[in-house]
Amino acid sequence: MKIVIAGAGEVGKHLTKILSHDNHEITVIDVSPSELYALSLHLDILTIEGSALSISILQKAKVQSCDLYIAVTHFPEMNVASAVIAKQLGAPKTIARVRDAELLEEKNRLLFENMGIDSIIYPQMLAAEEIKKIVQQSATREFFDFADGLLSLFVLKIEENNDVVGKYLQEIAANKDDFWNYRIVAIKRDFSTIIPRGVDICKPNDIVYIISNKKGITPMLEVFGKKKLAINKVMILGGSRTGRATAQVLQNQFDVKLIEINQTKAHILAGRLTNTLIINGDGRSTDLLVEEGIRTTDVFIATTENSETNILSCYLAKRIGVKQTIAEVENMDYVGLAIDIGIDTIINKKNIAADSIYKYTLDEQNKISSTRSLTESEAQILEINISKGMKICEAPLKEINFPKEAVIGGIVRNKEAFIASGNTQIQDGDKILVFCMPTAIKDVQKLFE
Amino acid sequence: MKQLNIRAILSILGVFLLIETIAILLCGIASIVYHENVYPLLLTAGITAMCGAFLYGVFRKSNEEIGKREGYIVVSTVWVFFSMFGSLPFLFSGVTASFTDAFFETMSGFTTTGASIITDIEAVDKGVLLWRSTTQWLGGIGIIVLSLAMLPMLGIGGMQLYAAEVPGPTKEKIHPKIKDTAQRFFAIYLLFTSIQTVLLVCGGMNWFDAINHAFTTMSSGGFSTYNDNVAHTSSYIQYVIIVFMFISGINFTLSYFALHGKFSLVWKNEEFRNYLAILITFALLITAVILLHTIRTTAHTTISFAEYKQTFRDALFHVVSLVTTSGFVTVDYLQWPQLATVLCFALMFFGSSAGSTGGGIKVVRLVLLTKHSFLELRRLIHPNAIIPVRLNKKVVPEKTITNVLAFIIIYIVIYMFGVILMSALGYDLETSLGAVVATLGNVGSGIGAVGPFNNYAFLTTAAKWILSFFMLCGRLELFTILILFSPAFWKN
Repeated sequence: MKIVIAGAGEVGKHLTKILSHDNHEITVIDVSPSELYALSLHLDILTIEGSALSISILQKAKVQSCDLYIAVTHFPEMNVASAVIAKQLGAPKTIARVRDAELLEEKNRLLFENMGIDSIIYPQMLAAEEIKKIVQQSATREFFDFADGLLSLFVLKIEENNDVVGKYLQEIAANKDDFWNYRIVAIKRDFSTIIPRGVDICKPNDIVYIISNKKGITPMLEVFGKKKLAINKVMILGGSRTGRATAQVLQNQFDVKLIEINQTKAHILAGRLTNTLIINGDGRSTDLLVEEGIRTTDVFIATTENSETNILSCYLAKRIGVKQTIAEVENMDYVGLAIDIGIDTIINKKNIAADSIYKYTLDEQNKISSTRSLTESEAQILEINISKGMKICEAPLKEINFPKEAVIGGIVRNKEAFIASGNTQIQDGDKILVFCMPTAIKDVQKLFE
Repeated sequence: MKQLNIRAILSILGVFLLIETIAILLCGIASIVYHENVYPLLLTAGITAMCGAFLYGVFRKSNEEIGKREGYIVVSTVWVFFSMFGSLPFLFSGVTASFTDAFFETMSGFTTTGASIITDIEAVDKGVLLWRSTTQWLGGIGIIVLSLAMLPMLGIGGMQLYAAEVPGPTKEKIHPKIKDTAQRFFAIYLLFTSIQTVLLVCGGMNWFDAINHAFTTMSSGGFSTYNDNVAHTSSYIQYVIIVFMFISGINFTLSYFALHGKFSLVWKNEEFRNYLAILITFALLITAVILLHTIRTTAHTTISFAEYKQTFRDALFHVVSLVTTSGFVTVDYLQWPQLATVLCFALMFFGSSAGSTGGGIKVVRLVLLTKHSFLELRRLIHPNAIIPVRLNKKVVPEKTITNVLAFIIIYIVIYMFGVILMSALGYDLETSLGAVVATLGNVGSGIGAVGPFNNYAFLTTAAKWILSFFMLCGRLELFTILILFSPAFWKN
C-alpha cells in the first residue's frame, strides 16, 4: 500500500515506523530536514522536505497515486487543509488529525466527508475514551473489546497473595464450565512476553492477558481475585488536552476533580468543564492532594504534559492508598519502569492514535479486520475473518503447525464466542482472535492466505 | 558501540559470490557458442559457488540487523572478493601470467577503470573477453545496487549499503523502497545497454563486439575487444559511443525523469547543465587548439571541411570519454599540441554526474566548490550577511559543503601521495601523474607511459597492487575505504 504521511512529529514517526515494518511504501513530508534525516537513516522510506500545504510538494510525494494520505503535523488547520488538497489531487483516502473535540461529533462527519476528509482523529479524545473504558472496567489494567464486544481482552496483574499464584495454568482453567469461556493467552514477566502452555506456573507480579467471552468475565475475575471496584471519586492531575477530554467524558458519571498548576489555564478549564471541580495548585505536593481528599479517591489519573511527573505522582497516589492509578506516558522507554513501581495502567497517545489509523491500512487484505497493539507488551492482537481455502481450515488446530510465538485466543461463530482448543476446527465464516508476537506475524499470516 | 557482526558480513558476502557465479556461468555460454575451452569459466564458477555457498550456509543464522559499520565493511570487501574470484578465468585460461596481473585486470573491470594489462586482446578467448566486459557492466551499476534490485533479503541495512555505494554527495531515491529504486535503475541500465547494442550492430559491428562495447560504454568502463581500442571504427560507431558515454555520465535519477517525459526537470538541473557546458566548452577549445596548431606548423592556410569534422569528432570523443571516465580512445592525444594534452589531463579529474556510473570528483562537487569559493569572497565584503550556497534553487546544508570540501582536499592529497609512491618505485613524473589519475579517477587511460595506446603490463607487481587499491578508493569515493583505516571505526 502506498501511504503518504505529512508531519514527522511523535505520531507521524510512530506511524512511519510501524507501517514501514509492515512493508508498505511510505513517503514522509516534513519541514524539518533533521527529523527526516533521523527517520530515513533507519527506515526504508522516501522523505520529502517541504510544507504539507505546498501543492508541488504533494505532487512530488505522488499523492495522486497513493492509497492513503495521513496529515499529522503539529498544526490542526494545516492538517485539514492539506488533507483537502490531497483529496483534490487524487488521494483516495485522507485522514487528518485535529485538536478539537467538536469536530469529531457525528453530525459534523458529513461536512468533512464533503470537504474530502474521510476520517478525523483526535488522539487526546481517543486516549480519554480509553481511560473511560478502563475506569468503568476498573479491575483491569487494560481492556479491549473485539468482535463487537463478544470477546474481550483483559490485562490483570497477579498480586502476591493471590490464590492462583503457584498454580499450573491448566489447573486454573480446570473448571469444565469455564474452559470454553476464558483463557490466558500471554504472560508478561520481567520485561518479556511469553505465550504460555498449560504446564506454565503463575507467579506473583505477572501481568496476564486473558481473552474471555461475556459469560466468562465474572467467574474469571473471581478466580483471579479481582473485584470490580465501586468507582465514585476520580482525581485528574494536569489540565492538558488529554486531561480535559478525560474530564469531559467522565464528569457526568463520576465525581471528578481536576488539578491544574497554571492559574489562567485553570480559569479557562473551569469555564469549559461545568461538572468538574477545578483546583488550581501543584499536584506534586502531598499536602494539596490530601487536602483535596486523595485518601478517599478511587481513581487517580495523571495527564500532565510531563511523563516523569505523571509516573511519580501516580506512585505517590498509590502510596497514599488510591486503588487505581492511570498515567499518561509518552516516552516508551519509561513504560516498563512505570509498571515496575506499581502503576496500574499506562496510557500512550501515540499508540492509541496509530492504532486507530492502522486499521485503514488493513482494507487491502480484508481478512484482518482490526489489530490492537498493547502498551505494556510488544505483542499484537489480530482479528481475522476466515474465508474458504485458508490453510488454517484444513485440520483441527492441534494438527496445524501453529507458530510457537502466537496463540489463537477466541473464536466467534454464529454470534457465539468461545475459546479455541486443540480439537477445534476453524471453519469458513469464523472470526478469530490471534495473540501474536511481532516475530511471528509473517508465519501467522501464511496460515491465513 | 556493539560488537561487529562478522557472521552477518560473511553470510552476505556468500550471497554476493553466488550472484557472481551466475554471471560467470552466463559468460560460459559464449564459450560454448564459439566452441572454445569452457573449462576456465566453469572451474571459476565451481570454486566461487562453493565458497559462496559455504559462507552463506555456515553464517546464515544471524538475524541481527546490520548497522553502519557492517555496511561499510560489506561494501568495501565485496569488491575485493568479486575481484579475487573474478580474476580466476584470466589465470586459468593463461591470459595473464600471475595472480597480480589477473587481479589488476579484474579490479580494473569492476571499478570501471578500464586499465588493461592484456597485450594481445584479440587473441583471448571470446568467453573470457565477455567476462572481462561483464565485470565492467556489473561494476558500473554497482554490485550492491544490482543485488538490492534482485535480493529483497538485505532488508533494513540496505539503506546504509546503498548510501555507501552510490556515488555523489547526496543520495536521492525515486521510490519509497530501496528495492524498487534499485530495480528502476537497473531497468534503465538494461534498456540503454540494449539500445546501444542494437545501434552498434546497425553500424556494422558483429553482435559479440556490440554487446561487449555496450557493456563497457554504459558502465563508463572503456574495455574494448580490439587491440587498438575503437580507433579503427567508423565515425557512426564513434558517435554512437559518444552519445552513450554521455548518457552513462548523467545521474540515473535524471535519466529516469527523462524516460518519463519530464524533460524540464532534467534541463533545470544545475549539475546536468554544467556537465553539458563542460563537455561542449572543452570539445570546442581542444578543436580550436589543434586547428590553430595545424595552421601554425604547416604551410596550409586553409583547412578542409573533412578535417574540421575529423578534428572536432576526435576532440569531442576524448572530452566525453575522459569526463565520463570511460577511457575509450580513437587517437593518441599525447601527439596533440602540448596545450590540448594538458587540457585532456585536467579533464581526467572532473568526473561525470553524481549517481552515474562514472568516477572522478564529479561535476556537482566542482559546482559546489566553485559557488562556495565565490560566495566566500562576498562574505568577506559583508561579514554579517548570511549567504547560503544554493543548488537547483535550494539551499545546500553546511554539512554537505563541508563534506564536499573535505572530499576534494582528500582526493588531491591522496593523488599527490600516489604520485610520490609511483615516483619512489622509479617511474618518471609524467607516468606517475598519469597512472594515478587514471586509476583513482577510474579513467583507465592516462598520460606518459600509460597513455591512450599504452598498456599497464610493464609495471612492477608493487605498482599494480598500489594502483588496484587506488581504483577501489576512487570507485567507492574515498570515504567508504578510508573509514576502514580510521581507529575510531574499530573501537568498541
